[in-house]
Amino acid sequence: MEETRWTLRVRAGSKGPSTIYVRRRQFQAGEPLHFDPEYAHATAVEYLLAAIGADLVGGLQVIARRQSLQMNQVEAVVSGKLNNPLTYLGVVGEEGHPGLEQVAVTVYVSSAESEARIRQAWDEMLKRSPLVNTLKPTVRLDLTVKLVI
Amino acid sequence: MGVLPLFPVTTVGSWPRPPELLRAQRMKRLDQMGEEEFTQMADLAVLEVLRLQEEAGVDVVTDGEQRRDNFYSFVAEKLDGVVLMTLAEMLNIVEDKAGFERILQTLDVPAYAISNAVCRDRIQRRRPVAVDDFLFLKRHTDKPVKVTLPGPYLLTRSMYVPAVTKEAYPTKEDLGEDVVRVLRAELNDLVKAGADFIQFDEPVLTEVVFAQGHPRTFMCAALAARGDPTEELDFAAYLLNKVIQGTDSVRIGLHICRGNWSENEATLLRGSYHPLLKYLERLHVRQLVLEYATERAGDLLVFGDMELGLGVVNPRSQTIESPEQVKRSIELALRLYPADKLWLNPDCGFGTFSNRPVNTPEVAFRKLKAIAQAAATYRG
Ligand SMILES: [Zn+2]
Repeated sequence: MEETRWTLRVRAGSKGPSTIYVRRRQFQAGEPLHFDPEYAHATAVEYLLAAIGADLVGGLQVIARRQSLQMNQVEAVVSGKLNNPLTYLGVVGEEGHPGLEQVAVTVYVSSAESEARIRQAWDEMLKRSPLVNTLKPTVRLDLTVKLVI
Repeated sequence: MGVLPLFPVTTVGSWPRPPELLRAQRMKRLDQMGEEEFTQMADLAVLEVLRLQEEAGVDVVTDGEQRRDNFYSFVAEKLDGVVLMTLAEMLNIVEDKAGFERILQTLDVPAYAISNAVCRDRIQRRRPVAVDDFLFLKRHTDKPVKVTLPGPYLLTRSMYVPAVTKEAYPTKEDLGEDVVRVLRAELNDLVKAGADFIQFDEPVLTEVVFAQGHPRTFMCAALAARGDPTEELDFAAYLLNKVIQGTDSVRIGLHICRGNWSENEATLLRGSYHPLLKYLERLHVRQLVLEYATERAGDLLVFGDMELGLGVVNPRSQTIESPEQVKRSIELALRLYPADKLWLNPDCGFGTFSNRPVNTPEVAFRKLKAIAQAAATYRG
């Protein structure tokens, strides 16, 4: 198979967020991370977490469609913990690093299917997930699926 | 209502809904299940709840709110102008997103599992809110029946989502007037049909007084911005009195609690009913159905000459209270209340507003039985 690469372009804004050009679309991203809840843009760290959530939720739906599993609702809550956020700020004397140490995802599924079939689809999805397989060696991933009607 | 025994035992309303019924509810909403099929399932669930209550020794029974998806949003299918929206559908328009996020995470539930009735047009009763359910239960029992209805303040506050409601009702006070009209009509029909006890639920009142500056605790109250507590309580008292005005022939109760959505006591609101006292005394209800099994409710108070539906067991815990424990609560209450003004019940319902019941039917049954056993020791 010919090598496939995915390429996008990121341009820093003069003051505000960066703009990402991907295929025929574009979107914006703010600073790497931010501590102010009122900060106006999604940060790079939030995008990474969002990508993980989208990977799991979207991946599960792809598998479900393939196996003709009915899923009425799929919703994830994603949270990430940095090893030491203060190192991002350059606080003197802080140990550790600003990388993600742990990511927790709970995926809620509403379905009339049996729990066993949902779990089977979940395991299948994890095997095929690009992001889970990228991050697994370096980040603690706590991934859970819950059947909630 | 015939002659009741001393310390009548009753529930606060909801009973854990079986998973298959929750599933059926969802299917009905998605039009994957017809009304008739759902009703058949719900009838069976109600009869089972009735059987368990009778077996446990409950004196005044409820239908366990089995047909409702929670204690207030079921009105969406009874009223014109009201639609059921899940929180997932409302995430864009709610004012306090961070507040919601905290509740969802504490509850460990997805946004799609929480539904809220939202007003988006002038409201009108399309069909009875509770009369049919009452008549069904009455056909199957000789016991007096308690009917629960969401209170007018709860309904007004939870249904008023400015982004959706404003066009039909410029202010929540405007909506409140129509909520009163609808509930009054329902109340009159229930009285005519022979209901013995009608209980209004107004749990959000505690949020008004205890949660200033704290995270949201009631999903239903988090949709619109908070107002000034004094004005809110005045408004709540005004609405309820207007609903019940002139219905002296039936026992009307009011249930107020501090939330029923977590087994972790520390996450639920805390504080005595004292700040509500002067408002509650103004109400023309005959009985207050209050939490007193939890120490979060503080000291027992007397509210004018109202009856007290004394909360004697925690509906959220797994430990079954002993009849002796219940008796100790009764003895304490008897220092302040004459015996004929005391009723016994759990602190709240055994279901909850999300799709996760707070307890199992087995535990609920054993808790009710403990209350009934305690009451029996006082009866001749
Ligand atoms: Zn309650």
